[in-house]
Amino acid sequence: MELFDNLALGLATAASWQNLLFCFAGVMIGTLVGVLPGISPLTTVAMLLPFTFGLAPASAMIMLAGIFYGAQYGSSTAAILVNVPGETSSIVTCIDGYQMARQGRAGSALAIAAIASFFAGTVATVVIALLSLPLAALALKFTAVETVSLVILGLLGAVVLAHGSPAKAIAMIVVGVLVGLVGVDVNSGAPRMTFGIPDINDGVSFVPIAIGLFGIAEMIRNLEQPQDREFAGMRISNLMPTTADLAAAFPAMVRGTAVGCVLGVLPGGGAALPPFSAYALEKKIAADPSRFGKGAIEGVASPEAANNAGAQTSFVPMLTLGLPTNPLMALMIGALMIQGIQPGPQVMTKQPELFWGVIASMWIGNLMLIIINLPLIGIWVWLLRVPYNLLFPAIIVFCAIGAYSINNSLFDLWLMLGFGLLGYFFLKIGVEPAPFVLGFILGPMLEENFRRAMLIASGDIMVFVQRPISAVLLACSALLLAALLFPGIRRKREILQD
Amino acid sequence: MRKAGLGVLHRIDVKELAFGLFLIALALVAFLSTSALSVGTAADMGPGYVPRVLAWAILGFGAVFCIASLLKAPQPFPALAWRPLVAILAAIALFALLFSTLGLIAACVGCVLVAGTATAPVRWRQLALFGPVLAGFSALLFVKSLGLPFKLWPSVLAPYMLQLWPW
Repeated sequence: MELFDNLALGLATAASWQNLLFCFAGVMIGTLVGVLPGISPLTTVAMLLPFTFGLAPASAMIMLAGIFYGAQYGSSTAAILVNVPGETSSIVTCIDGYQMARQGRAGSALAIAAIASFFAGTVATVVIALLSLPLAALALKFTAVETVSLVILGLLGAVVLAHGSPAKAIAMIVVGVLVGLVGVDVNSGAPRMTFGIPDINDGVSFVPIAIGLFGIAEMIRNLEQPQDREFAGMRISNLMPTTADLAAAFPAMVRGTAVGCVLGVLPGGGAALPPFSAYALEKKIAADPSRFGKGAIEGVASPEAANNAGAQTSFVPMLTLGLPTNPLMALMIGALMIQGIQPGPQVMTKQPELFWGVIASMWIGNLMLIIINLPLIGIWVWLLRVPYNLLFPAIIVFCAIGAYSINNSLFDLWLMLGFGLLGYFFLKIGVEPAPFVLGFILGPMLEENFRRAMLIASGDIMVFVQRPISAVLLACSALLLAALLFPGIRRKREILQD
Repeated sequence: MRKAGLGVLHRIDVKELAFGLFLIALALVAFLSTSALSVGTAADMGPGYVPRVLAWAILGFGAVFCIASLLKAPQPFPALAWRPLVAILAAIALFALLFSTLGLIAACVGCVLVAGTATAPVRWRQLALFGPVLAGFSALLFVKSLGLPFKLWPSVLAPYMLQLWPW
């Protein structure tokens, strides 16, 4: 019954007119950037993060979360109508969604995508609520030893599900941890790796790094390719799906939601991987797999449900353990820290209205999306025509203002520039920047707890395997590492990513 | 001489080599900048302990990638798109320079003009119109509505060359 009390508290928080407004703003901005290719929710959240400083913590988190799942919503619109996925999460939706649009069923595809997302969002909200309590209760028992093992497991898990070479990803994590340690050492007061620059005494700020690595670098890559978009099925008549469509889509929706919820919670989870897995599953169990790629409604319903469920359930490790599983969750942690809240299991007990408010707002936000977006589809379609060569200078200006405002520091602007260049270098040599960001965010926490643990154990590294919970966490990490080296699993992972 | 040197690059995985060299350079910088910090013992770590351990790990990774790049199937270094790269980075740099000296309006206009050269036919007229529009929008949104303390216009009193570099 505690669960219902909590959800009621959350609903009360999320339904205050102020938070409703921020939720609305979040999902609208999210849909907008989701529709527009070339600007990711990650860049948007990083850009807007400095401006949430003045908001109440719950309002800030509600709005930023809304941007994330709103973007999954918007990107499916672009995928179906223009065959250009707004975000990676809807690459699969292009396959069958665009075909449906070409057959004149754009309205039906859009409606099914919206309904599937709403259904998945509703289930995911309940899943988050159910999972959070036991996870946070477990995490509250953690000492420095268990925290170190948990962070290691989280970082390695992110590697398993990430793209590309695991060895490079692990190297990037270590680099991230190192850069995360820049600044004055908390224990001794000695400045470390600051090169006498006062701006980084408190650490290198995260927002310019994230904007540079992701926003700026991806923009340069986008501009390498000529921008051409072809509209299909532009006349959207009839947004109501037929009963036959609904009946065919519903089981797929349920399966997609399940896939999304499971993959979203895992380290490295988020909105990108679940739709691929869900689509593969649909194709495998379909009576006639040849329909896929030719406008099968299951091929829209299942991945759309999966990406929304994954987007939402990836909040679980962040909210309950303070462990970000993808770069966007790392930004959310940054947002909490700006508000002076140390992320971790204590957030749930000390700030229940924040915790449950954010969770309840996800359901309200999904409801808003379905009510508001279907009638507004015409506006989003119109926005798809905004040329990228006007869009990207505006994005640069907003990125620059965002990076500057986090500390009102010019240094951060140069930092953004430097990390933009670095991000482009990483893109070109095929190294994912996401593990770097996770290592950067978790670095200080990892070092502090490691030092504390070793102090308590008087320098005996064996303490990490002598404590039962820590030993289990490390055993899981070892299994993950072994899995990465095991050829069979490695091949499967590569197939999934293709 | 030079041609022979470049010839080697065609027989190895240049991407992997580049990453390996990046890691080695980073590790060296880390060693250099933490050389004055005390390391301490495992039971009582000094500020230099963990950075030093990480730097060793990064150095190790860098060495492994460098060696692996010689053994792997050759991969050329991917073509760089210099035009967008230079235009975007220059636009940000110009924004940073103008923002601190002439204010937000000039920074927006200048940034849009430079950024616009990233794509092939530069539409100067479009950019010249869009810059002021974006500047006005930013001024309204960030300064008027959000109340951020940005300088909007160049102040005649302040010499232009102040604060060109952030520190």
